[in-house]
Amino acid sequence: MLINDNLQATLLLCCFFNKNEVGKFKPLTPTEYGPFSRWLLENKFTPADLLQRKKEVLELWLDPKCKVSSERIDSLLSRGASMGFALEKWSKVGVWVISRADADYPRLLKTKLKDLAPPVLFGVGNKALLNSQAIGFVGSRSIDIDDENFTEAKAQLAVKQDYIVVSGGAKGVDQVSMLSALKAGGDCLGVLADSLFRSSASKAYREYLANQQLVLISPFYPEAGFNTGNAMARNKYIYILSKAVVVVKSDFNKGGTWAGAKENLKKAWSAPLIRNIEYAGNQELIKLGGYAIDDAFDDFKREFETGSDVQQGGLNVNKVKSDIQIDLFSIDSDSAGEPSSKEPSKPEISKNYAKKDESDFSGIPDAVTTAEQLIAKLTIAETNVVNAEQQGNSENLVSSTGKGSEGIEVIGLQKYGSLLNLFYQNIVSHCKDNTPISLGDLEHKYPELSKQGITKWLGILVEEALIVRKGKKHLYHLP
Amino acid sequence: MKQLALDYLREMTGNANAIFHSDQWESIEELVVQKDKVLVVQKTGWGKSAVYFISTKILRKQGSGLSIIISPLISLMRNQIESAAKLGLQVVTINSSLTPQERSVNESKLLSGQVDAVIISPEQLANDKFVENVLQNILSQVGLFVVDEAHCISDWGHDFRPDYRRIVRILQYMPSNIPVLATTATANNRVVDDIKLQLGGQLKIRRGPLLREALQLQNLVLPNKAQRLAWLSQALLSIEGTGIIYAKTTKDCETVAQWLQLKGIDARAYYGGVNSDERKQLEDDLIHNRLKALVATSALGMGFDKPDISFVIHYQAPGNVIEYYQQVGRAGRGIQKAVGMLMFGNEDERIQRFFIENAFPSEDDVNELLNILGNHEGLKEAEIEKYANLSNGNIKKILKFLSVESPTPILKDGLKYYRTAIDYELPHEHIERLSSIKVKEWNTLKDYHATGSCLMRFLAIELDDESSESCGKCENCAPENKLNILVERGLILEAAEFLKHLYIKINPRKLFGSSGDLAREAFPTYNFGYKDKNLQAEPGLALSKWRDGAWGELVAEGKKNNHFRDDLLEPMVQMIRSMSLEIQPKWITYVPSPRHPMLIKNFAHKLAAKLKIHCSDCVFVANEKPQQKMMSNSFHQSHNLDGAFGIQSDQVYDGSVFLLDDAVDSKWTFTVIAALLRKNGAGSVIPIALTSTSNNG
Repeated sequence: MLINDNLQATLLLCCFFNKNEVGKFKPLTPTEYGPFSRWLLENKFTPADLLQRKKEVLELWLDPKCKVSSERIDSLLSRGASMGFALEKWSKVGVWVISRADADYPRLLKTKLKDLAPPVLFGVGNKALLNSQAIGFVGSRSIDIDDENFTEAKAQLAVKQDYIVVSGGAKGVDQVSMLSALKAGGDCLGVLADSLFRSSASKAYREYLANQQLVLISPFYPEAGFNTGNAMARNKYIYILSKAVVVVKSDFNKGGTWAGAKENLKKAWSAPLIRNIEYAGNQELIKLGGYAIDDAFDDFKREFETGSDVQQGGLNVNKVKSDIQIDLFSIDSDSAGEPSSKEPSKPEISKNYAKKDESDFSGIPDAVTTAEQLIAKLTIAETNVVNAEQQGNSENLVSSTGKGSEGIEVIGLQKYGSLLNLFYQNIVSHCKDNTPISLGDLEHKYPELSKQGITKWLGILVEEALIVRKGKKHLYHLP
Repeated sequence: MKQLALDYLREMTGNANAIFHSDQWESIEELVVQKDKVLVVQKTGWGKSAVYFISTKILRKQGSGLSIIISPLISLMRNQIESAAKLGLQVVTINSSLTPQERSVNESKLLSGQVDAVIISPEQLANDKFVENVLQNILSQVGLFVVDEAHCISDWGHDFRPDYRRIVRILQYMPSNIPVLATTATANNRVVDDIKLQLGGQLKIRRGPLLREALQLQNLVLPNKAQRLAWLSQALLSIEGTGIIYAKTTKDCETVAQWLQLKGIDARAYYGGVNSDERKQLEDDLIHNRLKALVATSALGMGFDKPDISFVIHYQAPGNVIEYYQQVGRAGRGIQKAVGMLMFGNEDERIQRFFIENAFPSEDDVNELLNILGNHEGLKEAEIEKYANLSNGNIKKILKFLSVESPTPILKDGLKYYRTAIDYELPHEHIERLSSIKVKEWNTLKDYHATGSCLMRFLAIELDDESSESCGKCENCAPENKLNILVERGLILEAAEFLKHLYIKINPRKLFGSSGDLAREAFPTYNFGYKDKNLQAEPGLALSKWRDGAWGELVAEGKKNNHFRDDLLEPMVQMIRSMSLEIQPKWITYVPSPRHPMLIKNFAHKLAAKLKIHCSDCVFVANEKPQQKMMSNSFHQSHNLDGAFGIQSDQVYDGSVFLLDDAVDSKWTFTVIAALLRKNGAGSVIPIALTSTSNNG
């Protein structure tokens, strides 16, 4: 693996190199790296200059948002030894890394996401597949035999029509579609949200990686563990890389498949082909403008309209309140599509939460990292939440988040997603002895969250009367 | 800044007038100002630790993170830490010689950020637990990266270590903004060029003269062991001071040390298998001249720093002259005169061939292991033993070799090994090239032993130190300096007799498998648990080593003729007497053989008569199994014996018993029969054997 100075510098700025760095360092997110790299270019610097003439470069740099400070860049750049160890470990099992400057980097990511395309992609397997015409497959992790047969048939159709299959490598639809295509002699691109390193030696993929039928990529560092945030963020890349995406089975109003499919309807990245079955999520997605397809569907070559202005309008109107979490994770693309939404907007809390969510949380440009880190801290609680959601038990989070929550009133919060809930519960446990908590405390507790983001969340909690603000100072306590 | 650096040097050495050796300040400047990558080739004693500690001090003052020093020089570390402390630097070490307590203290110091520099031995980089739980926490803020003994980076280096293959790639992937210092005292041009090629053209090189002035070199022609032992015990009476005797194998270290002790010379064996506390103690004893000599393998490592070593004698030849230079160079660092003697034994050629031929795993074994990994979704090392008929040592060797390959066909995650998607073939060309280098280097060593010209200059030229002239004091420059030792014939005969009575210890196995599960799987019939103290055998002895040139030859002959000569009876009796048992067993039994039913039985009965004790035929063959020597690893060896033997309990007597076999290897046969005897009411079971065919004994 050849790594030039520019790529080295980009890696230092944008990646974790091992699990121990998560939480201690804040690599630049695509939304932060995009503007920074543009600034470098405008000032006739290259990323490599950060290695050789760091002082000179950083003296000129002034972050308009004060988030990408020189100190932050400096501490990221000091991780050279860490990078050496990581790249040695990854490269020897066949993991490679490419940046946007590489010829193999997927053109669709660059054209559709521009500056906000992932600065680096890690991968293993046949790079040449990254720019192939592709059909994507998404759907639930738990599927029955009918789902499996449908997925297999459509994956085989894609192969027959000379498409590669793109999916996420998770259990269920993802794996069935990929392995069906591979077994049928087709090629395949897996976009992983975690564990690329480990997957490089997975028994299921080994043969296909070796004979060049398969490529696995991930925008996250190869040893990243599973977390919901990354999994959701990954979904959009499947849509972007595909001509059309088959939605095999989606829950209604919850879960990654639903969120991803809806986002795609709005962004019109690729044609949404929704399997027409009596399943709430699927039916709702068809209503929202997806193409209904069934067992008889036999042609991916036909033209699908992906421009979905009509639906987009509809979506904005019907924006469902419960998907704060989704918007949080999709913020990169939101901003990409609508740079104006990044302008600081005056909160109009009372009018429309849904609207507010979108503008408010764009104040957390590093939403992906934010979510990842928050979740990393609250893994246990989160697992419970996820389980609860999977069991359709989302009505009552108290029971699923375990004892420490002591009868917290959370029913009303559910519509904002589980992250806010966890945030709230942390405040509760801090404040239960009548100790107030300050904005400073919370910033300290959540170094990954921006001050603005914390303020917004506090705003919602005050609005919901779950906490009370003491006077003008940013001090909060329980009612 | 130079003044500051000089102040630090004076603080560190405690000498207010100290000045830098040539290249020391230049190296520091390249590291801390230009953040360069620097290779320093300087003889031991030049002061490379001053370079990295002063650089660390300056970098820390500038706000950089800690220094990481990769060094195999465990014995060197203690002195270094003391000198660094004079600069106010907190230095800790992580290596395998630390006790668990020391290690955990050092690790928590590291984790709490109190440390300015950490010295890590290279093999720790393959310790996943350490890397993930400790190292990764400090890696993200490293200010200086030091690689000691950097000649190991090069394939051309005489001392190739697998972990350095990983280190060189780590260095290749480090960005240009982190300074790197590589140091070595033994690199010729080819090695330097190779290191430069691997670490990139930016590498700055600081090279100095390597000649050692105080050393007086001499070679000896004494082909057989008895001659050499006799010479040693005689010579050490007249050579003043203390020193080191190098041997190639653990067994030889023990033999030489035993002999010297017998002759009233305080010499002790030192090798990797000696536990680390004891090694520390031995080093200390030598440093403080409480011993005459350590008889050591190359485990008495690079950088063992005692200024007044007055002799280094090689009982067996090292593999090449650079290794020789390095080992003999331990002598005479801080004194006016020291001697370096090289003996060359009959067995050296065979030992070297063995090392060269077994340096790499065989293609068949590698393929077998990879196939097994390919058929599973991850296997632990002990599980691999179950599926592969490969010895544990061989499995370890293959895994180590493959894990530092890049690209590598295996991936380790937690305790399990996985097959990667990489199409792998053993690098034949590379292996052949390395092997032919080794052969050539060995030939050069033989040239050195035979040369008639200046010995020191011969070594210097091999190291590409062109500045050197003839030393004027070696046996060729000044024959009058030659040490002449007259050895009596009687002493040689005595040494030969001594070599005949070197018994091999049989340490009983304590476990019936490497885990409870594996024990159960290995012994479904006998149903042995993982560990059962009541079923264990006692320590025992074997008379000889297979084909050792002494009794081992008679045993081999006996196996061939299906009859052991009576000449073996008396030595066995002597061996048994030497065991100094508290209670002499009143009976003996033996391991029956389905293929040669009378061979050991007859000998057992004769031995019993000689010892005047009873011989019982209580052990019988219940199931004929494939020969034990076809089984390569512990799991297969143990499983192969399950159900193989039965006991006639009416012929089992009370009290302790000798259990006799002709040859011992894995000790599984002894382990299993001892357990069966114990179950049938026998007292403690003492294994004895005519010979040991084990490689490790």
